[in-house]
Amino acid sequence: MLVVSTKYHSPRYCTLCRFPLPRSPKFKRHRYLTTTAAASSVTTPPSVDHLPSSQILGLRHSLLSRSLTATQLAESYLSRLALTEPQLRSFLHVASSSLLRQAAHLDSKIAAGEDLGTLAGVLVAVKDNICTADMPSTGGSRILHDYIPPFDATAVRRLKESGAIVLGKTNLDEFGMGSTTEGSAFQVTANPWDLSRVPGGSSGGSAAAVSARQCVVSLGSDTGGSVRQPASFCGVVGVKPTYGRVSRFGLMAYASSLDAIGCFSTSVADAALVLHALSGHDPFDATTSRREVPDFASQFTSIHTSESKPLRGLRVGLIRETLDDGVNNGVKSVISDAAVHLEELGCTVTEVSLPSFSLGLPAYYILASSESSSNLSRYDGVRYGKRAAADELNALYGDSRGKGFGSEVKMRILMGTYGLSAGYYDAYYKRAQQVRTLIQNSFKEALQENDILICPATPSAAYKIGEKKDDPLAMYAGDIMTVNVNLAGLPALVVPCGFVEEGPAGLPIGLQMIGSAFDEEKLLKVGHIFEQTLHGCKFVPPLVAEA
Amino acid sequence: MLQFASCTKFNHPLSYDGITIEVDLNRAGVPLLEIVSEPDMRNGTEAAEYAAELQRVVRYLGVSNGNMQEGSLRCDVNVSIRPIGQSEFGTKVEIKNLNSFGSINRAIEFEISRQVELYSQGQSDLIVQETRQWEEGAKRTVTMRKKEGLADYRYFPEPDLPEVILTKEYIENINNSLPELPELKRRRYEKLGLSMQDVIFLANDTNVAEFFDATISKGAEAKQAANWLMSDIAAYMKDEKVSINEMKLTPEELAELIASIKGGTISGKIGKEINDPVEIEKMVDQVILENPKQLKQYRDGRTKLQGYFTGQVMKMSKGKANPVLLNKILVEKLNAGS
Repeated sequence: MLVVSTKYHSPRYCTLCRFPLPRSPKFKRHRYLTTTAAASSVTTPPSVDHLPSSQILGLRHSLLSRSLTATQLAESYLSRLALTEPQLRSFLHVASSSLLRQAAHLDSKIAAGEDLGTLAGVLVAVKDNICTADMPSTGGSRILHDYIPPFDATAVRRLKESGAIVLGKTNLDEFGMGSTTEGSAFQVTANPWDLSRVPGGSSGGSAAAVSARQCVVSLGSDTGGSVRQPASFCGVVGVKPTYGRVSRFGLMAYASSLDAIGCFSTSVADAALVLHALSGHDPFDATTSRREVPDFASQFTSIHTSESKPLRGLRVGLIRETLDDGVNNGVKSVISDAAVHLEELGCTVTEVSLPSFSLGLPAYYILASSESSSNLSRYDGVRYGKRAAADELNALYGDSRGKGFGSEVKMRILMGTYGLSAGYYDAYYKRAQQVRTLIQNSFKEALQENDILICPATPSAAYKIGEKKDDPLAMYAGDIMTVNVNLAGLPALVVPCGFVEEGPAGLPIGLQMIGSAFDEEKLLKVGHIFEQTLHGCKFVPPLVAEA
Repeated sequence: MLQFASCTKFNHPLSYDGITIEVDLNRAGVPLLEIVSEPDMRNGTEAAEYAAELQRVVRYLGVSNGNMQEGSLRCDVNVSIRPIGQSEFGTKVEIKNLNSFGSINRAIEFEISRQVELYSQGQSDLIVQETRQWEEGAKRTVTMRKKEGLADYRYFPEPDLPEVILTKEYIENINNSLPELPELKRRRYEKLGLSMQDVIFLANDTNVAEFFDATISKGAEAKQAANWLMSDIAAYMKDEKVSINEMKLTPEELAELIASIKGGTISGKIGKEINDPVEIEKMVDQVILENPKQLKQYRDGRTKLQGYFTGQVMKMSKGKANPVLLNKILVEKLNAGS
């Protein structure tokens, strides 16, 4: 491994948002536990003067102090949703009436002084490839049109048990296969920062919904970057936990060895609270870990306000291969600035080389497609999926699948089938598995030298709707920053860190932080300090600010 | 290979809208272990015996009742032939629907002769990789489905199943907790001086083996205990349709019986009681017929003579008649005419 030490010049201006950087000797620090977010912060669009703070704790405070009822809260979100949804199309299903019913129930619990769960009253949007017992779960596919599963995914069940209220189901690329939501069988979601652009994908609906404050937090799934890339495109926090941290039970399987349920939020603090509720062993998913789940947020309170370099001694490796030629200059500059910012917080930032990095993309597309070709065989019109009328069994299977699947899904099933076939297995599937081992090892090595690794979450900011629709290879290339992390099974956090000058109001860029397996705690701690000290950057899209 | 069992059968042909599809899912999700042998067996008898030994092992281990009729143990066989001296195997044909060790044996023998016949007629190309079904009634195999090559299954490691890493300690613990397996049991019985026939009979059923072991642990001689179990006790269990565990006789009593016979207290034949009421009735009738004088006296009131009749029947049965049964029948007969 090649390690090159670099020095950065501190910028005098925040190139990210074109404001002068406040250069106070001490960063103003925010103790989220004492936050006094009042009714105004949710009934009206979030104040742009706010530092990123926990919406969850803010609304909990409002509910407990009786300054706001759960019903008022739900109504305010529904009215913003009514305002923004026609332009955004984030949701495939909104459960308005059940939302108000549950809010009223919560109000009666509060009035009775009952104990509330940690996520009481938190409105969650759930990606539509995650099963919900009382709502349609289509996976963005025509083949599951009108499908209502008989059970909740473990992730959904755990959120509900913590008091969260599921607001609706969000749009996605069919079965998670895509990077724009253009692959949805039903609609294309727009980016709240520029309605002519994609929100990213496949969890684009969930990212856009959080960005536009249509919900408090949301669930997504990340097989090759489907949480992190849309988080970056939409200017929100996105977490892809370690493989095995969160149960996949009830997540429609795309590539089982890579799939992970993650979440979106407007602050790292909220991400920590949601991840804590989601995590832990599940007897229904044999790949979930029995490791203890730390209280991720507890670390946050230990920041001393007098400490000027709260991340002193933290070794940060900037992955050199992620700032290569194919990466947008604006993105490079924003990420370099983020690296400087981390140095100012006390980190030692060095460049680190992962020679196998570029192999990740082809290996990912072979493995993910191979697994999907097997996983999607269940949609045959008999076991799952809308059944086509046919005279005999093979025609029934063929027609159900032919009519039910979109073109991207069919392409990946074909690629995967090919990659696993006799005569090609060794050249494709087996070789991709070998590459995967190389990538795992190189990450392991890099994470012995460094506490965390950083890189962009995407090689560019959000692009135009339709721009890459007919060029799948260009779209696949956009996943270069994220797929390696899935191949290695590691946790990663995306935190908005700046802007590039595109679109009507600039487009957000996310910084990806990658940690050692099961060390989400460190990532969240670093991310929390990072976002608290990132002055002047307000990641509230114009759509909401104008509303 | 570990797998899940799926459904057992379709009660109706699979169809669509408007027609009910019934699938028996009662076995769905039940763990299933598949054991694949090497091509080590040369005829039906060997294969059937291999399957029988696997059945003994799963029964010894208590992992399954191993009943083939219930589908708890099932066996598919692969048959191929090759000329003597040739090292590579011929085309393999799979046979399904084998419900007993007998059918395994017969299906393989049939399939071997079918393939040999095709081969000797120069029609080897008609031996194709396929799945055939055994028809027990017609005693033949018929084509069920032609099989594609193995690689077309497009197998790859199942990612939803995490690796199971077994520690050395775990394996040792399992090894140490294993019961005596059939093979070891047979070797031990052999060393007791028992014939192969005895050994196989005793070791075939864990309950019988347990009874036998308990009997010899009470001091009974092995050969004697085996004889009793294989002849009289086996016949009794068969007649009465009871298992060895349901029988009233305990290993202690059997050991005592064997010891009494050996010590000359009773003879071997006495050991066996006549419990058949028809047989006893016959003897009672004969004794009554042969003693008209005593019968008249009895019926005139000398009921003490019952003992005389009992003695006569006992004498006739050489002491083997069940006394309770005998007296019951006798009293009925004696009082019948009065």
